Amino acid sequence: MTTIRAFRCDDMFRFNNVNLDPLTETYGLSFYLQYLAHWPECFQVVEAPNGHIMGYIMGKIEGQGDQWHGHVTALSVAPQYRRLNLAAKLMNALEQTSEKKQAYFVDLFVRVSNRVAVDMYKRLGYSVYRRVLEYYSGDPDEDAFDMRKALPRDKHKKSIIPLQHPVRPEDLE
Amino acid sequence: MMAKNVDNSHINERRLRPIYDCLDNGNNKKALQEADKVLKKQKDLLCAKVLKSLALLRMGRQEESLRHLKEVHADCPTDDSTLQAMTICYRELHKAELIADAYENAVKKDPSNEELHSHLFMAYVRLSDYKKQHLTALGLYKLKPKNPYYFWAVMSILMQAISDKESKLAHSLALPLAEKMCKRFLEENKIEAEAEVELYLMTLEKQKKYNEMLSVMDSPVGAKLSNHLDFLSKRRADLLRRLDRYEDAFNAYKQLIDNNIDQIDYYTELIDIAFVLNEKSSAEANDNQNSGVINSGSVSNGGANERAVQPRLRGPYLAKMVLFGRLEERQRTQADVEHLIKQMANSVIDLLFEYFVEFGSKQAAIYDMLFILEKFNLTEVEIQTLTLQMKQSIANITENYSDLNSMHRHMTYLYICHYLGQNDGLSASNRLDFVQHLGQIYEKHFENIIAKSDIMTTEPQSTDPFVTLMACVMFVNKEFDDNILIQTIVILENGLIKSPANFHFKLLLVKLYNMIGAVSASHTWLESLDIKHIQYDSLGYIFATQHMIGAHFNTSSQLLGNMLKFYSSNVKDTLDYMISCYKFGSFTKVEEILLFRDRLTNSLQYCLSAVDRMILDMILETKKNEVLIVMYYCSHSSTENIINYMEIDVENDKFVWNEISDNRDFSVIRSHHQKSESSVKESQKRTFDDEILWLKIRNLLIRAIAASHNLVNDEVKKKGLINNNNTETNGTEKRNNIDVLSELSVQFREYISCVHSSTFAESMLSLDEPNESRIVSFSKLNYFEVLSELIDFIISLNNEPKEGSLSSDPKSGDIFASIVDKLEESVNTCKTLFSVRSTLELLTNTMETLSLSIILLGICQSIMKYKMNINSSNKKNRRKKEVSTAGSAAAEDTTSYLVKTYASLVSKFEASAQRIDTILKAVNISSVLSERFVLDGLSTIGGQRVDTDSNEY
Repeated sequence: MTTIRAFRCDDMFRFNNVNLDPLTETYGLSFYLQYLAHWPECFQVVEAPNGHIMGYIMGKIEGQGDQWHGHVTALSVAPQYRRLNLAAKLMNALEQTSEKKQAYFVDLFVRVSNRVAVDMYKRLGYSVYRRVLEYYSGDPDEDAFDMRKALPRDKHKKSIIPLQHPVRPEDLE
Repeated sequence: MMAKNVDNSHINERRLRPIYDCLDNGNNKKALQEADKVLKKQKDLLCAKVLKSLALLRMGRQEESLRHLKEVHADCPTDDSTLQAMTICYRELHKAELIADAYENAVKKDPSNEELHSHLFMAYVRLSDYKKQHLTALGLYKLKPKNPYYFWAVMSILMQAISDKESKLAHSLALPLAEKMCKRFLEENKIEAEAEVELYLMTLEKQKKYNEMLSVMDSPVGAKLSNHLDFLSKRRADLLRRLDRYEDAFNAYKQLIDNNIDQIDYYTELIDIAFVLNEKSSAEANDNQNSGVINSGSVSNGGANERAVQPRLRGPYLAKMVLFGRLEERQRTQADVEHLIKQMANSVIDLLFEYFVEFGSKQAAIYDMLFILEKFNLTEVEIQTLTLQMKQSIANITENYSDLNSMHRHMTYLYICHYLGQNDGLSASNRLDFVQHLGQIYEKHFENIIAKSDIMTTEPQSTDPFVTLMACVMFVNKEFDDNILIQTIVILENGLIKSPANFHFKLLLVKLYNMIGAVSASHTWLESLDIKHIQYDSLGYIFATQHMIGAHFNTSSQLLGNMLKFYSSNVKDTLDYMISCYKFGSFTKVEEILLFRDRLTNSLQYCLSAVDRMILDMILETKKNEVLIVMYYCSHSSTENIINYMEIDVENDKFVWNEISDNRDFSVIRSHHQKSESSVKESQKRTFDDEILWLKIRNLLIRAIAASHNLVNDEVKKKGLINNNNTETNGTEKRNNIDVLSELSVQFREYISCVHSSTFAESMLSLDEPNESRIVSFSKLNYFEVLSELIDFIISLNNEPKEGSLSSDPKSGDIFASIVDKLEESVNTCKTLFSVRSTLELLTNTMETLSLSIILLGICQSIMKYKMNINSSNKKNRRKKEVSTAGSAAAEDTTSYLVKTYASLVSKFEASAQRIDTILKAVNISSVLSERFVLDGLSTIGGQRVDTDSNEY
């Protein structure tokens, strides 16, 4: 049993079980507040029966013309609550919101090495649109897959035709 | 970033570009040069001037920066880039009021500029000046009749009402006004956006006009509200409930569940409503009894039956158990639900077992079942039945260790047994056997599942909960037993070798190492947890004071510095996003962000860190001078500088005690043991109260030290040694410093007696227990008395004392000596790891008290120096002890008595300090420990690290 609801500022005091995970970044306050202030409808949390936070998704909707799309900025589920399809539930929530806002597609970036995540997104209907070179800084820098899923508004699924060549982060629109 | 905010059409943009670039890259020196270059060509380019100020500001040259800014400010610039740059400067200077002032000037000069008005509005948002927000927004709307401006005005009125909780007038005027404004727009068909409808609903909700809310939602504009994830339907159902329209609310929730059978809050609401309906129907007509409950029962069962359609959803099963619990509760007072209970199950055991069969293969099942078990007090027979059933059901599947689902079932079974106290009766050796048995199961699963998969090192491993359970089973000691502690540490350290990403292990290790004062070891894991930003606030309770207790003052100071940086940026950050809320029409978030900011500003952790940091600064300053009480005149003056720098308000308490907020996140560390978890809940509350008392005393102490220090300033002023400019800060309306200090002294004594008469939440030595407050160890000896006596001595100095006017000799020296006795005793008896920690804590407390005493003694000396002209002829840089020589030389003087008293006091402290030095030199903690580890034949992990801890002394 899971409750999905809008993320509230106060949830930041309690999301440690999710955020202490090494692949989940804890950002400065302003990052979360920016999303809460601008795209509150794209920021959802799932809560366990005991009130603990199981995971959350943070996203936005942006872009010009046929690039108007939903974007997943962060998606994470606490280790104890994996294998419950919560990520799918949260992704579905953002897709629904994006669809209602007339977006053409939803996209996300993922480390190319993160097989678990890449496979999961594939299962959810996402495909690799392009590779972004050295998107993640670190030692060494790591490439990202830009993965996309077309929404019904993109009737001919033009948004997901893969690019043949990788791009550099500075060339991202 | 910054450049984007600037009006790109400006003709000087090209010239200014290099300055912006340098500032963006953090190259302030270069930015300054570039700005000077531009200004050489174009002396009156205001924006360049402001950017120069910004560079200066960021280089720490605040006064110069302010001078330039003042000039520009007086010019009342109206161009966007200059004003934006000024905004950045004032923002960094924490002078939001000047941003508003700059835009007020600009608007006066250029009253038809929409941009400027809009910026002025945002400047008022920064100041939370809702009235001015309101007027500016209305002005804007008159200038340019755009909808957002109109609704900024409405939101500003709403904020007036929200912020003015006490005044009913504002409430009765502001809210209806906001409502009227929305209504007018609605009637004139001018409502355009979802945000506007939302704001209308907010004004209605604040007035509890739920019927009106429903009709807005049902009206044509209601269609603008999006119903993503059923949020709108949920809201409607909630309104129906608040309107006591229970039948409708029941149906609304039922429909919500039909649509999403896994949502917990739908069920709990539905069950609540069902019980109300039941009450009502039994009151109205007896024949219609229980209709509500029957319905809710059927929904709950119906949900479970749907599992064929939507397989494996936990919701309906859990809802059934929650409902069963509620019915059982009711049965205890009224027997009318008996048949319903029977209809559902014989006992909750059946339901739990059913749940286990269905979901035991998920790790979440552990937490779900613990959640249910917490609600029921199972009898011993029930516990036996449940665990036996579970055991039998997994009996034939634990053979092969390679199936993930089987492993999880087994794991769930083991956790439930532990939670229900099935391991409580184990003898020490049986316990060890059992943990070893768990270790074997873990190893086998690890070999067959993890080692054979290509799982990434950054992924938590599904076998990890075995290790956590081993630690939980092992560490149940209510006694301070080193062996158990070391074995638990070894379990977790080994666990981390296999699963380096597991943060639970790390958190537990941080706790365990801190229990024995092994701060270096805990710090290593703390760093690898990469705790930062808001986590300082919610997790700080696990580690923040531990460095100090372990006598790691410098690390502690660094850590506190990082934490405080987070808090100070909070105000700035939250304000920026409050502005965004208006820009994007996210009106629902304005109040939320405001409350969030308050919760951080009033956070217990924040207050504790701020006070700890101040005390640490004082200690480190005195410690830097000399550990021994060899006190130089010049070194005390650096302590004085520190105190001056802190700008302590001696008259007013800066904390609002009844608004201190407890933001600690206890969900990260659990013992998975029912009895222990329920008692920990209690001590979570109690430690909060303890910390507040601790905070109150320490805060008062800081104020008393500052007030004592002010007495020195008074003396200096009397002597005319400080010029008028500097004394301006001590305004005439302020109270006499000696009165303030006397009052603080009385309060301090009251707190001290309160400390000695209170009982505190002492640590129970469980994994999930929050650390006890430092007040617990402080209450055991008379540390505060030492300081309190010294403060009283300072007060008596000021009252022109003559021989015999001091009621008694200050006892602080003797009290401190008795503390050192205890320290010696503790060091001599320190033979176990646990006692290392308590000895270190005693040492820290002693050193802290000594350091603060030295500061107070230094203040005494300064007062005497100025007041009695004692040592004006003496050279600087002389040892304190010489004061007594100087004093005894003036033995005939009226001040001789005081000097003598002071000298004897100082020599007592000096003697104590020398004793501490001797005690510490004699002790060899590492040899004590290594001897211990040889005896125990255990891993040296703990020992090696504990060893390094004594280094700071």
